[in-house]
Parts: sequence; C-alpha cells; structure tokens
Amino acid sequence: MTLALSDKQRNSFAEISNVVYPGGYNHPPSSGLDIKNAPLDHVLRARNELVVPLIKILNQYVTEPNTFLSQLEDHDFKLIMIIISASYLSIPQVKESLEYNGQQAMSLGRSGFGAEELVFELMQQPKRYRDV
Amino acid sequence: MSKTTTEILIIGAGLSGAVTALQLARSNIKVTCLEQGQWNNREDYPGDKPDFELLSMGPWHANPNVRKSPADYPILDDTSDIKPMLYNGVGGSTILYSAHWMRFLPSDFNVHSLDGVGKNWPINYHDLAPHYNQNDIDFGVSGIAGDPAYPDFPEYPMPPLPIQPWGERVANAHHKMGWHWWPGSNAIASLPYKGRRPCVQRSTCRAGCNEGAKGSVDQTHWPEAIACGAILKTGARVSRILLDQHGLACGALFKDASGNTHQIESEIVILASHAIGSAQLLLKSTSPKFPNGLANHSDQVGRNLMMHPLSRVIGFFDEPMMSWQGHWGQSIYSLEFAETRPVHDFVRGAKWNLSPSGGPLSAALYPIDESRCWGKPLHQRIDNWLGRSAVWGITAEDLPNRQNRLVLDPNFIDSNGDPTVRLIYKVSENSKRILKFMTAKAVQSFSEAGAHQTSASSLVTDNGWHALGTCRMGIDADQSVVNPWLQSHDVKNLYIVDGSVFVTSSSVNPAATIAALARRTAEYIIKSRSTIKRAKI
Repeated sequence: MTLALSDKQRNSFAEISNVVYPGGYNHPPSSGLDIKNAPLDHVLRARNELVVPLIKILNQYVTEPNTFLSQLEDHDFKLIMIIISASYLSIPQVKESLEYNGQQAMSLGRSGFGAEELVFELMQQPKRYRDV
Repeated sequence: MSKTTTEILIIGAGLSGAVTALQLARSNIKVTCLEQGQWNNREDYPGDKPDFELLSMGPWHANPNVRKSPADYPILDDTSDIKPMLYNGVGGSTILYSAHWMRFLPSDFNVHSLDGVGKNWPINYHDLAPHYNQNDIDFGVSGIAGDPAYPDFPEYPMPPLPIQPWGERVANAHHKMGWHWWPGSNAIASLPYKGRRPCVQRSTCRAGCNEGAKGSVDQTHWPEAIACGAILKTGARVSRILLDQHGLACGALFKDASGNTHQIESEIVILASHAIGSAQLLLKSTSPKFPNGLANHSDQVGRNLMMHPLSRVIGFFDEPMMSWQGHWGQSIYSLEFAETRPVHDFVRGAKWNLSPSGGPLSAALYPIDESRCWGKPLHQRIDNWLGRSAVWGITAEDLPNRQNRLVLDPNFIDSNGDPTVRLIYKVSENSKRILKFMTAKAVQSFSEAGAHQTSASSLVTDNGWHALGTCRMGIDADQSVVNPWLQSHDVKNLYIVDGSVFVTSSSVNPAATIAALARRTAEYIIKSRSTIKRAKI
C-alpha cells in the first residue's frame, strides 16, 4: 500500500531525516536507508492519524532542514521527530548498529533477585518508620 | 428506555470496582457493574510488537486526551500543571499501570498531628493492614517482607523479581551511603500464579501485559467475580445517579455504545470511577436536594485534587546492561527521604522507584519537550541511553489544597450534552522544594553508583497517574464527603471506593491503598448487610 504522500513530500521528509540522523556512533546515516519509502510507510500504517498532520508540516518545508527544524512550533517539532525517529529506528541496519533486537521475552533466572546479602543485613536494622 | 434492577450497583470496573465486586460476589450479593469501556484481549497489547513505543505514544497513550478512545471522556487540562493519565475499560488504569505495590507508611495517616499540614485520616495503618495482606494474595504481589521502613507484615506470595544490574549498582551505593533501599514490591508475578504466567521481563508493563503476569484486575478479579455471579456490563457510560424521594441513591441512568439510554435500579450504589470520574459524576448528578452536585453539601466534591508531582533522574553508565528489558515495575525503591526532617525546607517527602529506561524511541525522544536535539548529538544521546541507563522516578507527597480541584466547564459540552470536566491544579511550593531537593539527591545516588552522567527533570507534566482526594474521607460531614466506611455523609446508601476518598496522598503509589480501602468497605457492607440503608426498588 502506498500512502498518500507525494514524491515532493517524501523527498522533503528524506532531506529532513538526513539532518536529524546524519550517522555517527556506529549508527548508519539516514541518507543511505531509503527512509522516505518503506520505513516511513511502516510508521504511518501503524499510526495513520499522523498522515494528515505530517503532510501539513512537510508542505511548509521550503528552506534547508536545520533552519526548518529550528523554526517549527513545539507540537510540530515533536510530531515530526516521532515519525522520523520511529522510521529510522525501525530499519534493520539501524537496530543492528544499536545491538537492539526488540523487547524480548526472557525466562526469569532462578538464582535469586540480586543483592540478597545486603537485604538480609537491612532486615537486621532497627525499624525506621514513625509509629503513631 | 430499558430498566433493570440489582441489589448493588458499582460504577466502574477498574481497581476499586473490581476489588469491591469480587468481595461482594464471594458473599453471594447480587452485584451489577457498569463500565464505559470494553474488555481487552492481551494479544492486542502493543508490548510484544516491534512498534510498541510508537503505539504507546498514540492509541495506547495513558493520557485519554491523546489516546481518544471511544471509551474515554474529555478532560480539560490546560489549567492543570499535570496531565491526567488513566485508562477506561475493564481493569481501568491497572491495564496500563506499572504495578508498583506499596503500602502507605504509618505516618501517612497522621500528617497533621505529626507535621502540622494537611489533615489526619480517620483511620490508620493498622485498620488497613489486614486488607493489604489479603489483597497481596489476590493481586499476586512479588516482593520480600522485612523492610525496616514498615511494620512487620506477612511475606508476599511470590519472591521479588530480579532487581537487575542497575538495581544492584544503586543498591550497593545506597548501602555504602547508609540510605534506605529495598527490592521492589510489584503486582507482577515472578512465578506461575493462579493461572498467570510469570513476568518475561519485556519491560512493556505500561503498554498492557501480553503475558498476563501483571496484576491487572481484568485478570486477577473479574473472572472470579463473574463466576460468583457478578454482572459486568461494558460499553455502559453512566450519565447520572438517581435519587429517590427519601434522598437515597436508587440507581443510575446510562448510555450504551449506540447512545441509547437505560435505567438500572439498585438498593445501594457504589462509585468506583477514579478520582476524576467519580467527582465528575457527582457534580453532574444535581437535583433540588443537591443543586451543587450529589452528596456535596460540604462543597468538598471535586476539591483537594492531589496528583503526585513527579521528577525523574536518569543515570547513564558505561557498561551495557540491556536496560530496555526488565520490569516497569520498580527494580528497587527508596524511602530514605519520605519523612519530614527538620533540616529540610519542606514538609513530608518523596518515594523513589528505580526503573529500566525503555527502548530506542525513548532513548531518542524522551523527554521530547525538554530538548530539541538532532544530528550527531542525537546519535550520541541514543548511544548513551539505550541499554546503559536507569531511571529514578521520584514522587512527591502532594498535600491537599481546596483550590486544586475539578469543576464542570459549561463552555465545553461532551458527547452526552453535559459540561466537560476541567482540572484546575497548581504544583505547590512545598512540592517544588521536595522535587528540587530529591533530584539533587538522586543525582548523588547515581553518581555513587558509578554513573558517568545524569540528567534530571524537575517536573514531569505528563504523569498524572495518581489523581486523588476529590471526595475525601472524614468524620466531619461539613469538611468531607464520605465517612471512614466510605459511605456518603449525605446519601446513606451511596459509597465511594476509589482514590477520591484519600485525605492526603502519601508519597507512595496509591493502588495498594485504594484496593485495601475498597476491600474494607466491601467487608463492612457484607457484615452490615441486614442493617445498612437501602433504597426500596
């Protein structure tokens, strides 16, 4: 499914994203990740109520990205940062660079809860509540 | 308009409504509960899906004004320093809560006598202790008893969840400094328990628990209550509580999901609709006898709104700890600064809870309101945060102030054609001083634990999970809405069992105390069944 963004709007999105995530700290640059297509569509499918406000923001884009981001109202800045970040961070290469594989189900260990010896020491301490 | 009858009507199927319904149904009392929301399927919660953070910022957001689900009602919050966080549906806010399961401290019931502020509760810790004990079993709480900050109480039904590497670091630091800490008590299963699976440490508690490990009352209470005969009607939004000619509550009008109005008659009415919802409903239920709202001759309905101002300090560590996993849920808590100390420039104090720090979107954006960051600094931020950080959440004890309140705003009409509820709330100077002091101390805590960097937010506005106090309990009918059994002073067969009855807020999470109060009132009704006031229907 192609969502209702024009090529111009998608290109604007990519230009802004490339400034938001230029690459660094072993994270890949947005510019090499085709963020304006499948990753963006993935986010907008999950949150289709964001399509219209995103288009409205992108239609304001005329200057270079840094200036554009600096001048956005708080609400619009927050919204475009959510969409750009969710798009970028959903890309497999990015997750790999973060060594992040999603929120995994893990079995609880059976070796205790940790710092048990400190808890047993605390249990020996006098009560500290204010009795009333 | 259809008409049905029941012995006891409960309005709201969240924490307090479920606890009350289960106790009453266990005693074969005919109970009907009206709930404006619906049941959820655990499979639908976003926590086990790749986009869970994105969905938690929209359709699963805890702020109903962001979420805008059909079950939600609008809450005008532009006049409130803190935004409301709650959930409407079977389970109420336990669907999205973090399940921190904390008892009040004994002093929390006597703040006026001890510290000269607020009001004393007409009951004390020992009145609630047996109900805390029983609820620990019903909710399936994991933890370890013996915390010297509390009187002795029985062991929890399950051992604590792992306190995690970040918890161990901070615990060791507090031990060195002589500061209080204790493994977190959470209504989250650490073992298979009564058909619930143990926690899988996905750290997505606030997006609903896909495993059913978290003690949300749709899991822990409603199935048994229904099996015992309780009736739960979903999609039923109550618009008004009805009053008979003797001034007793005799039922309610409600609308179904299609907008059709129905009437239910009952001998006793129990409000369990959250501190915002219950006060709102009372204020809307006007009559010639109660022109300012039902049960409101004291003019206390809606007043004394307390919202637990919260600050947050993040500690960043060098070593990877996979701190996107865990339970959220508290790893450990600290009550080191919960009590008044003469050297402080504030009274009362705060409770601290240590949590993991979320996934990559949290690392990139949270808190988005406080910094405009992009480019290399954003990459650096994510690198610092993801998997290498932990969060102290610091909850200040909020003191009652009659100017902090909710009102009905006639300028905004809801879908029923009624005025919309408006929150009017300012964080007090005392709370600001508490948070300022606590954030500095939490920075010290993390530094001692080896954090190379910290980041502090003095007030997190999007965190109004603990709305309390809007129908407070008391002996004096001119100064309070309900008596110590949570029975309305004005309407003798009307009870209010949610967080609205709190006299003061403590600094600890209120869920365990709401549940204990609800259970205590249910047991009072059961014991007094043959003598308590009822409407004739």
